[in-house]
Amino acid sequence: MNPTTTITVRELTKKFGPFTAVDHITFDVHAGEVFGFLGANGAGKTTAIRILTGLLLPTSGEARVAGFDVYRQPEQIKRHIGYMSQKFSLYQDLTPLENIRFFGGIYGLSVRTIRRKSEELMHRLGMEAMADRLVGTLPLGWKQKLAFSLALIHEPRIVFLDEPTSGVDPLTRRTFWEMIRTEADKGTTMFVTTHYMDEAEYCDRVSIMVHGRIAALDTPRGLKERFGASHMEEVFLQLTRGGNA
Amino acid sequence: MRTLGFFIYKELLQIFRNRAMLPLLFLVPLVQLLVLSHVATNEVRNLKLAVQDNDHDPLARRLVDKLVASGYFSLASLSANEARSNALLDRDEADLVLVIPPRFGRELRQGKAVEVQLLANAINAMKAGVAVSYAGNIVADYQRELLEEGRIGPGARLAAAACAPGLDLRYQHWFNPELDYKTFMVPGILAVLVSMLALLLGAMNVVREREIGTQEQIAVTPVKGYIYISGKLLPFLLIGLVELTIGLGIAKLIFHTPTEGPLALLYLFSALTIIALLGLGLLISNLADTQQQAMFVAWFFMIIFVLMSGLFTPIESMPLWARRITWFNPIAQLVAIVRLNMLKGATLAEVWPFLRHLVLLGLGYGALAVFFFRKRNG
Repeated sequence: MNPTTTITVRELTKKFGPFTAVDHITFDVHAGEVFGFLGANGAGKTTAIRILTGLLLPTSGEARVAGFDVYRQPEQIKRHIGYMSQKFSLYQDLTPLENIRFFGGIYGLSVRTIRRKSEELMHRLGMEAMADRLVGTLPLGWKQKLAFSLALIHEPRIVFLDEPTSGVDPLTRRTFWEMIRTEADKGTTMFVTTHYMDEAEYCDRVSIMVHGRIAALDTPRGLKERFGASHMEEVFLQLTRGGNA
Repeated sequence: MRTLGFFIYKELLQIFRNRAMLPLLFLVPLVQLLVLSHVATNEVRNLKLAVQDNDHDPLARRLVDKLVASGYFSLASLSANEARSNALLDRDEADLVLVIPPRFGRELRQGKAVEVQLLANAINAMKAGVAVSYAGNIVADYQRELLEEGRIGPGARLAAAACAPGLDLRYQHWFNPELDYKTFMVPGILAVLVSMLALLLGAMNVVREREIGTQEQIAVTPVKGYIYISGKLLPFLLIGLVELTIGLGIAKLIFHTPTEGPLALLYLFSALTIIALLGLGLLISNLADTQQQAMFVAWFFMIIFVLMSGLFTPIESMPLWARRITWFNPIAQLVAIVRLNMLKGATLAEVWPFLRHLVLLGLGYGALAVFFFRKRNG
């Protein structure tokens, strides 16, 4: 494995009975890369992410995440990854600080580290005034930023972001992507799924899944050139239509 | 272990922050206790007694007075007419007829064996059983009293012959004049209520986290399944025991239940029952997709467990397959132990099988909950 490669996937396949959700996919993701994982609904993205986060066993093929095998070492994988789902999944009836304390605690951070991280985080997000409000009462944009920061609390090597910006206003999306870029520049791998094709432009490389297979994988510019498109949306439409035909 | 602490802290924070649930959590079992402890008692009062006195001796009159003075009987009629007392029984105007034979007083004084007859209205078999056993005990008491006073011959024996078709006289041992039924049943009912609540809360909890999405968030952390399940179980166990304590305090104020000795046993068994039911609740929660599903399944188990607990109908009189089912019912164990304690103040040796059984159930349900949590969340 290349030392800068954090995710290695070879011929990874997942079948649910007769249905093949993930069909022999192969790719690498590098440290510090923002990797866009695109695909239409039902293309197999979620299944692939569940395998890579150690939640689901594959049917066949290989996958290593942060150097650990998905079959045999899911616990080690979980130690080194962060995860933020499309469904906003912090405790709404706890305050931001209480959420930080809880998730920091179950990742095994010391009380002192948790306290330091809490202050840092509240300051960086500009949330000091909201530190004692229940998360449920915060605007969605703030919640998403908080969830993103919490996915990073244990300084994972890879963060999986499953449609992190759905339902957020364009301005927040912009700042959100700036946060993703900042973390990637520190060396953390960002594995992002999204439905917004303009967001694909923020990624270093983009893979597009169609019917369980990876139909294309390149830089946004490379993809646009190959498909003679001016916009990622055209690339996506050409590929998914092609896949349907 | 440290991780477990974070889970417990978080869970307690959430429970105490829920302004709507918290009062309900504590009020519901207490209100149920206040209502049920008056209803779910086997003590029967104001039994209508018809006396057919064929002797009219002062000793016979004194027996009647003694029955009425016990507070359990009210005199519905007093005559020497057999047809009359039978008619009262037929018309349901008497629950019990006491037939005092001719020469009752004289034969007692002569030191002979005398038998009074008790005719019970067995339409309500339980009531009849209680009536007969109360009266039988009072008659026996009366004999002792007369002997001590030296009013009857030294060899005299007074016995009551019960006559009620289909009557199950096993109820007899429930009569316990020194120990008020409520003082023992109230803690038992309270323990049942609290552990039922545990089942419901457990069933709703994990599935709620799944609906919100936090379950998935925890599943991608390295937290072990058994830590997660314990983190759910312990806070609710704590709440259950606090509720039990508050309930017992109130029971003491209102029903004057004793708070020594057997209570330690009650706590131990309540804790084990709560653990077993929480385990089952969490198991349900892990298998259910929505809170609604979990609620219905928990409801199903609640009804089965309470009705087949032996609290309302004796387990011994259930068919064999039903008795087998009660093996899986922690409530049945709890009720059995409360009853055992009520009757004779159980010893450790007697308690041991129940203790082992409850621990097994708790471990079983808990292990299943952990297994299905892992299966479902990788």
